[in-house]
Amino acid sequence: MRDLGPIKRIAINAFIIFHLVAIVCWAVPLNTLLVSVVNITVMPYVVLAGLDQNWGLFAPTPLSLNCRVEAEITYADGSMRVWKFPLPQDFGHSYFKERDRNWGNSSIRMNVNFALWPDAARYVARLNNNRGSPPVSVKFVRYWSQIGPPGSHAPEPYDHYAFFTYAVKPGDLQ
Amino acid sequence: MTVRSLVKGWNEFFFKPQPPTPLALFRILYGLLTIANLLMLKPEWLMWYGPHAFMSMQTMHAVDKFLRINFFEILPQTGFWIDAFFWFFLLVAVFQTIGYMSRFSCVSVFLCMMSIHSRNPYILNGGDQVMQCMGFFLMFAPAGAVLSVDRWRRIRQGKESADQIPLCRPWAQRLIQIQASVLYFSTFYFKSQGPWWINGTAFYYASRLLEFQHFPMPAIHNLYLLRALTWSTLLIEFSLGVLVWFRDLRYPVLLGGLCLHMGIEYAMVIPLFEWASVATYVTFIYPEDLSRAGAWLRHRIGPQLAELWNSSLKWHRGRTKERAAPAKIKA
Repeated sequence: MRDLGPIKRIAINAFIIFHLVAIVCWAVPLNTLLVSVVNITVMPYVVLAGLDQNWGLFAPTPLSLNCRVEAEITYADGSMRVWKFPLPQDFGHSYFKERDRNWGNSSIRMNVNFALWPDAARYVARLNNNRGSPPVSVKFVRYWSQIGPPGSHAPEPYDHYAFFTYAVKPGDLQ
Repeated sequence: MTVRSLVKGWNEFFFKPQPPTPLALFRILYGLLTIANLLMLKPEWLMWYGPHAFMSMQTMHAVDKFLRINFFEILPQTGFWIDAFFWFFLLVAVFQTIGYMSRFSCVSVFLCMMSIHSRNPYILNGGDQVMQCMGFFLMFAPAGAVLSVDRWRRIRQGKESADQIPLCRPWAQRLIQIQASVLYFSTFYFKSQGPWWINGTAFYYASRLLEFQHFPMPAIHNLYLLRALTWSTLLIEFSLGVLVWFRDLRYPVLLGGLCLHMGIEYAMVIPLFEWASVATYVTFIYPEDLSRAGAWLRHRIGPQLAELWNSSLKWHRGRTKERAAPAKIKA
């Protein structure tokens, strides 16, 4: 096995040290000035290299809500239809619908992702443009139900709230 | 502890040559997981990434200002080209699995994976994150040094001996191991900040989330059992972050991790996350143990495999003779 030359060895060591510092500071959520400075400095590289990471699933506490998002589509003739963002439980807990779950429940549901709503509404309108009269509006409604504490067997009714309405333009349906 | 001993330890850890068998095994598992992921996604290639996808390219640019690796930026936005991209991705994933043009395939798989992750980061889960982080370091590893078509070709060309396993510097493998440890320590640290993980009820809430439920599980209300399950999760995650580095504890800790992930796999739908995490464990197996396991397997299964091979050859020759026989009669 050939020996590493000094330049190659220095380059590999620098690569190792840089990546150790970057991934540790990025992944371990220590709230210190040094970690913040490192994170801001390395952020463009970490994102480009795909090393941006967050391992906080079910942390610091798991969500205590069961939720889902539905779209209410109104057609030009006044009729309505409800389209549910697919969830794994609607498909026998299928692996294949997990991305739909992420899209509907983790992304579209959240107010912070409001920029995604018009695109999603257009997609839903196109998907449901299969009647004589075209869709004229799409309304997103979020449903949620609080999970009771351990030992409580009380029913967990769903609340709902309409959080976005989109007026469909004819061009959206092509 | 002196600076000299620290430097020596560092050099031994990152640069002391060792057989690259664990890495090669990881490459195979990583390739298989990539193929599985692509096939699961296949019915929805155009739905998520096509010209009329759920999230348009304009929205993608509006919500994400960072520079990212993304082939969709340069691909013509037509169904044909998006499909072609995915077929190419699938092809290089197969190459990666069998170890053909290993470096090229590892780099290509990573770039394609980054592209689909950048095109719509809102549908990613923990499994995608594990694959992305590990894929980055795998590009720098001698992943095709053994258990690969590349190795078979080098032996045929006389460049390597079949009897001798080449040795490689394990620095990229060490980075994969460290990344895996950081993952577990980070998730342990995040959870330890939450009151439900401390009071032992977190498992109850996580298991009641309908969107994650996989196979049927009874609702657990027994506080002792809930605490045992919640705290054992914390203990195993801490162990995989820290104790896995102690030689005597490594295999018990990995076994604990395997049980944890298989339990989650049974109870929850988080596709490929469990398998991707468990796949990284092979990089923690000491090469000498892997060689021993390989020798044992060859000893146990090798004769049967050879017998199967010989009988299939005999069957094939018999069929060839049968087909050739009528021609002889005619002549």
